[in-house]
Amino acid sequence: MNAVETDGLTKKYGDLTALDGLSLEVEEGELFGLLGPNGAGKSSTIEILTGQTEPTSGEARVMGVDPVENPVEARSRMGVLPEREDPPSFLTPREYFEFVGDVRGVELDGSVDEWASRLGFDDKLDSISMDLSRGQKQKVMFAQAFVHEPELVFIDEPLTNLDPIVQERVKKFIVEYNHRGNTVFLSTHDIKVAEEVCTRVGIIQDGKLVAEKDIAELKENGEDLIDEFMNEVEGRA
Amino acid sequence: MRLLRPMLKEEWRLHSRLFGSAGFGAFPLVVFVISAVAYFGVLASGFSFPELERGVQYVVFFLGLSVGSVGFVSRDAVENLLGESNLLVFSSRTLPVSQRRSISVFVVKDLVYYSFLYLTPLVVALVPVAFLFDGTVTAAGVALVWVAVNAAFALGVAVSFFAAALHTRNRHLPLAGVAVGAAALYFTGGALLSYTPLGFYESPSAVTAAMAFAPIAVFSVAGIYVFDADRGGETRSYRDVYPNLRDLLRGEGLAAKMVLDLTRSSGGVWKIFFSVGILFGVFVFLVLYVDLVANIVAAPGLAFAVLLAISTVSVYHWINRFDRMENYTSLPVDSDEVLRAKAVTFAVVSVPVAYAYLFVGVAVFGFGEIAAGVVVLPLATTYVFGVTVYLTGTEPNELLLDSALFSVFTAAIVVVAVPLFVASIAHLRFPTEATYFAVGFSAVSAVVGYVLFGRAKRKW
Repeated sequence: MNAVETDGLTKKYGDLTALDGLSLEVEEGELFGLLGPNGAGKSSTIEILTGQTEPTSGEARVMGVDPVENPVEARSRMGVLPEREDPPSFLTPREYFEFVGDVRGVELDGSVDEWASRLGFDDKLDSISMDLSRGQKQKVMFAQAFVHEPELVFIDEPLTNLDPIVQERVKKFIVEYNHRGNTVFLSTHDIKVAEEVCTRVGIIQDGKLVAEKDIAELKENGEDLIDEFMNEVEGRA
Repeated sequence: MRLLRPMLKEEWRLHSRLFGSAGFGAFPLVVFVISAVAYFGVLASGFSFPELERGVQYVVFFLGLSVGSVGFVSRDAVENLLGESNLLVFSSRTLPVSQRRSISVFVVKDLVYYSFLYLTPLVVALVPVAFLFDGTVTAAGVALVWVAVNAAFALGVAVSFFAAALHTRNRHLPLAGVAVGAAALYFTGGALLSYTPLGFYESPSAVTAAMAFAPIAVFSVAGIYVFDADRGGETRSYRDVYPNLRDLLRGEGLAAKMVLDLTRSSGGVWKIFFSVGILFGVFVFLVLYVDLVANIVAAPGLAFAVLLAISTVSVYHWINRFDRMENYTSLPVDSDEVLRAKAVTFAVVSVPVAYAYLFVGVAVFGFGEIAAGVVVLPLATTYVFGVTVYLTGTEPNELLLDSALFSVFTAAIVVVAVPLFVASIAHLRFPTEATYFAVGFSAVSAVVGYVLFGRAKRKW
């Protein structure tokens, strides 16, 4: 069964076409990376798949749910790390996780401390989120996407603002989480990261899916994802 | 000018992009029409034209106080209140411009815009009404009122900005300042007003101009130098109160989050008291100095309840300044639930604050006729809330600057407020009937507000 499906997804903002008939499939259990240059349509894709915005035309399904028709149900089955979102300014991370647990209807209890310790914000659990550094806010948002252990997670540029040590921990965690049978949909500019953690990637440009690559096959053939990416993107530019 | 001009341009583009150049540019016209109608009503009630002109100055002074109070939320304003749209105010981060200078220019820019959007049309609207009631209008007279009104606004901004600057040094200093000001006003029997733009208006001359404008300069310069922009760089920590608050609100987790946003942001719960208190101040002033009770309003408790209900719009503004729909994009929450939580938050914050002012008004200033006010207050507040949410969703701060929407909003409020004010006047001759009418009419209004809120959930 596919965890994510889109068919002819188009999104227009006035005269600008952000997505132009995007069709892609991600199977359950994949760690899929969506790659593309700035303005290619990556964030629009995630926003539609997580029910934050509606497509101009086309269809989408996430874990069998239409995120356009049932955005709340879709988001209840997934975890989401948006690219540009901070935790609520005046709640502490501890209170924010309690709030997330309430909204998602799950008991989080010990997992909050576990996550804080894993990502290194345990000394900030009782500080209001507004006063945290950008990196600390990113850690809180990353944790909230996984804390209820969803079968599908959308993560948009998860490593932005994180220090190298935490980046390594996060990459390791994403791979382990995928190995437990969960699906991860990763959007990133960072091709090295995608090559390191993903099982398959899709390359998007001008709102269209221009190529799909199996990472294991690439490695077997001694090919480099960055060369493939540059060929696909620059060759069409 | 190197900073001011681009800031003015930025402000124009920010709003004209949202509402269109015509939509934003027509805002002064809307203010003009609304003011002219209101002036007509005031003069028809028996006030004299000079009293009206003085009243306008009182009102804009309090408006200035409200605008300058943004300084109280200075730290959080940078990220939450002004938002990233006001990019030029952050020039000091990247360019060789001091933060003090960029904030000063930002305030001047706001003064220019308020003059264009509100103050000038407020003054110009006096002209047609003067023709109807007074018959004597001169260019010099209009110019005098324009200068006095703009100066009264600037004085309000300067005073509250100075209070905010004191607050950055010691949180108790503003209260001491208010106490000193109130005592000075009381013991001088209003003679202090000679040192305000009102003194210049009453007796225009070079001397009164100097006496009137000097306090504006003094408070402004003192405010800029006393203001400690670095205050509050420390990380703020709190014990975990979310679960208790959620339980107190009967499991309303979203509302608990919103209440925490409101009470923990700079200014705390005091900013709510302050913004609702602006109209309280205007009303008290009118009662004490214009003798409103003796002349016009027989049931000030009732009139005051209506004013308080209208002023709770500011509470909804505050709720939305710190709680944005983007906070929920990653969670399984829909706009229905968010609006419902905003209603709960609004109710638990605005009603107690409004009642507190109502009781202070009755106990300290003898507003009288409280029974009808006590009943009308929550009913009229429900109406005001329903209208605001229906028209502006979760963006009242931005959308009410749209000319068309602001006109509709004003009309919707006037439709309910005017009959209730009339009831407070008619109370002198028909006390029982006026009370029954006010309660019945506000009850119907509350039902309308409730229905509008239900529709808002579908609309937004």
